[in-house]
Amino acid sequence: MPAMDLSNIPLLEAITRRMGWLSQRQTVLAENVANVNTPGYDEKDLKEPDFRELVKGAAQSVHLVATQPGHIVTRPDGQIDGTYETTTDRTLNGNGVSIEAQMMKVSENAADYSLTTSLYKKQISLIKTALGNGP
Amino acid sequence: MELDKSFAIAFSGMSAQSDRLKVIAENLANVDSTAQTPGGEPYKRKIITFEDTFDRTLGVDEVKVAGVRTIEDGFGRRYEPGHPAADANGYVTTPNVNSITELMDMREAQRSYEANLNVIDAAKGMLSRIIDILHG
Repeated sequence: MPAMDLSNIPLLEAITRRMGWLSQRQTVLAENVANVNTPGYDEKDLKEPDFRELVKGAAQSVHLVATQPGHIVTRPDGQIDGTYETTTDRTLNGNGVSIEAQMMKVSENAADYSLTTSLYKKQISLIKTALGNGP
Repeated sequence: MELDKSFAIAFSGMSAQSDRLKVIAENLANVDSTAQTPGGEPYKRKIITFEDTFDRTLGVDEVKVAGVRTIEDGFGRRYEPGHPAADANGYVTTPNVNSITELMDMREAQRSYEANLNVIDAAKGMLSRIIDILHG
């Protein structure tokens, strides 16, 4: 009998990918904040994957491929390659990081993460209910 | 793991800002430090510069101190003939430290430090959320 693998359930896989994306974005935001006083540094953000495609393709092992610059690529491990610059204005020393915008993004990211993990927990408890072990 | 990287980056930012605060403290402490010999040079204001550096082990951009430089001009002059550092005309050269500028710089360092702390807080919250899943 094949072992039950939670990541074979499409919704759970999509949720896991979303969590991976949010962690990756947290790293990018941390880079921005750490370099808030570095001359010539531009703020970045992580590219959004197309989650509809991810959910649709979650059961298949197909990856997005870049055929033109500007395309979003997924690596085999499901992580997104690529960031883009979000700088709107610069200070005198050429630094383009807006600390307010970064703080907003950091808290938004944390809230999204907490939503995603709640969804994961709900889904697991749904499976548990189906198994008859109760929530 | 991605969240570990966030911690490492934020810590690099915090240590850079602490170094900056150290330089500001040196400047403020020496705001009145003149030379001891006639016509000698007083304390020179120091400034710190940052640069982003690529951490090969983690594969992320961190921040580090690029260097501390001294500023060689903008000194003040004060008429005080009895002073040990007074020149032939009785003038003492005073440091080029402006306490208002230093205080402003200090506020900025503090603000940047807090921003890094916020990132750590958020990453910590995310980490504890993921541990929550284990508890079911």
